[in-house]
Amino acid sequence: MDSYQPVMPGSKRFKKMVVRTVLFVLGRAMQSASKYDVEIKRELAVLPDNLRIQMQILPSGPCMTVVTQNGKLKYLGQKPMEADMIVIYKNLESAFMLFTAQKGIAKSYAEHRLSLRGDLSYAMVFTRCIIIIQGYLFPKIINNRIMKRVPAMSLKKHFIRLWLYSFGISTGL
Amino acid sequence: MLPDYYEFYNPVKIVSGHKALENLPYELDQLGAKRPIIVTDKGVSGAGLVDIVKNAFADSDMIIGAIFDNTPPDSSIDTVNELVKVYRSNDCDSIVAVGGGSVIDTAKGLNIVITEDADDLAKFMGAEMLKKPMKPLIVIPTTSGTGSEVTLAAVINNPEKKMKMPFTSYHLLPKVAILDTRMTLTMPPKITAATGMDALTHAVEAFICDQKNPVSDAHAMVAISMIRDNLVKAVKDRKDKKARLAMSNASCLAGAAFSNSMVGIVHALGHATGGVCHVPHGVAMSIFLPFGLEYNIDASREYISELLFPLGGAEIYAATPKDKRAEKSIELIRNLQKELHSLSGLPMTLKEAGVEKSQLEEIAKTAINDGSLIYNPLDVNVDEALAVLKKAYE
Repeated sequence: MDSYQPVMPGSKRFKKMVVRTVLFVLGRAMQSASKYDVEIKRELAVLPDNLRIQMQILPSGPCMTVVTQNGKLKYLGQKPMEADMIVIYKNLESAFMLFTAQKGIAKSYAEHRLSLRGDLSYAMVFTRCIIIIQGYLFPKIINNRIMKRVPAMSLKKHFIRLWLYSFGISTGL
Repeated sequence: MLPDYYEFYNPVKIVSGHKALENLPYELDQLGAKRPIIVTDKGVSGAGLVDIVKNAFADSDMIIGAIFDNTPPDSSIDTVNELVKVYRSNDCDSIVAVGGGSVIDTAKGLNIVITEDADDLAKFMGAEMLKKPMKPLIVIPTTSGTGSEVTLAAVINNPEKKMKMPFTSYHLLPKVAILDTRMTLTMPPKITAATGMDALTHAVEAFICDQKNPVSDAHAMVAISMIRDNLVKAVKDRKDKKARLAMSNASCLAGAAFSNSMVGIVHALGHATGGVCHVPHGVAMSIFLPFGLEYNIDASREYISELLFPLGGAEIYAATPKDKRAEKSIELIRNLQKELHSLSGLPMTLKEAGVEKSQLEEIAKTAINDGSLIYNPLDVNVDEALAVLKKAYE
C-alpha cells in the first residue's frame, strides 16, 4: 500500500527579511517623525495615551508595535506582545506588496488584504500617519502611483526627511 | 473594469414574495432550530407585524422561546446584554430579527455574544475578528433601506464609553432573509422615502467606490433600476404591493452590493451627522448623495456616467452626450429628491433636517475617522468634508 506523508510548510525567508527590515524602518521613522511633523502630532492628539498599535503579518509574523506616549509614537520593537489595536495582514505576500510600494494602504484595504482588531476610528488615524510616513520614505514618483493624494512636502518636511534618513531611522531620535 | 483582486461573499438565502413569511418554520427547521427568539421593537409590534410572524408558526412543532421588543432606535450594548439573558433563560436556539437596521444589528450583537460566550463585546470589535460559525439567524426586514439582512456589518452603541462599536465579519451574515410584502405595507411615506434613498445610496456608492467588483456592480445596477421604477410609487401609495416588494428587493440587492464593495464619503458624512445631530440615516443619505457624487466626480466620472442607465433608463442614457452623463446622473438624483420632498416632506438640506451650522465642524472632524472614507475614490480631509457640509447646509 502507498504511504502518504504529511507535507510540512516551507518558509519565505527573503520576503520575511524584507518585511522585517521595512517594519523596523517604519517603526523608527514613526517614532522620530512624530516628534517633528505637525500633521502627525495633530493626528496623534486624538488618540488616548498608552495605546498599543500593532502591525501583524499572518500566519507567523513578523510584527511591529508602537505605543502612543504624550502625543508621540514610541517604537516597541518586533517581539510579539498584546496590543489594543492590531492591523493584520492576511499573508506575507500582501505585506510584501505594501511594504515594497507595489500597493498603497488604501488599495490594500480595498482588496481585503488587511483585517483589523480594535477601534476603527483609531485605525483611520493610524492609516493617515502611515501615509505621511510613506510620503517621507518613498520618492514622489512612487507615491504618485500608490496614494490617492501625496502629502505636500514643505521645506521643513524636506529637512525632516533628511533627518529621518540620516539619524532618525537609525537612532529613533 | 476588472479589479486586480476582489472578494465577494453572500451566502444569505433570499426568500421573496407575498406571504414568503409562511416559509419561516421550514427555514428554521432546515437550520436545525426549534425554539427561536424573536427580536423586534415596539414600533413593529405596535403595527401588528409580529402577529403576522407568530401566525406563520401555526401548526408547526416549534415554540417561540421569547419575543423581545425592547430594541431602541439605536442598537446598544445594554440592550444586547439584556437580550442575552432572555435568550439563555428561555433556552432559545436561534434568532429571528423582525425590524429595521437597529433590530437587525442588535440581533447580530446577540449572536456574537452567545456564540463567542463573551463577557465583553468590545474584544471582537473590528474587521474579521469573529472566527466561529454563529447560531442560526433569520432576518425579516420591515423597512426597505438598510439592506442589513445581507450585510456583514453590525454597529452597536456603547453609551458608557461613548463610542459606536463596529463589527464586520462574514459570520455575521444571516442564514436567510425573508422579504414579505406585508412587512413593509405599514411604512409611512416619509420613512419609505428616507429608507429608499438609503438603499439608492448603498447601490450608488457600491458602484463608484474603490472596492467595486463585477458581482457587486451587477447587484447595484439592478437595485438602482428597481428604485427608479418603484420608490415614488411606494411613497405615493403605501398599499402598492408590487412597488413595496420591488423596494424590498432593491434594498436587499443594494445591501449585498455595498456589503461586498463598501461605501464612501456619503456614508462617512451621514454616520457623523447621525452621531452628532441624530439625523436619521436615510435622511442624511438623501441629503448628502448628490454632494458626495459631485465631490467624487473627477475621480469617478466614468462610473457616475454609467449610473445614468439605471437611473434614467435607456432612452435618457442614449440621448445624453457621453461627457454630460455624470452630471445628468446627479441631476436625476436631485429631481428624485425634490419629488420625494414634495410627496413626503423628506428634508433636502441639513438645515431642514434640524442641524445647526455650529455643528458642522464637529461633524467634519468625526467624518474623517469613519472607516468608509478609506474606500472613497478621493481623499477627504477636515476642510474638504466641511466644504461639502456647508454646500449641503441650505
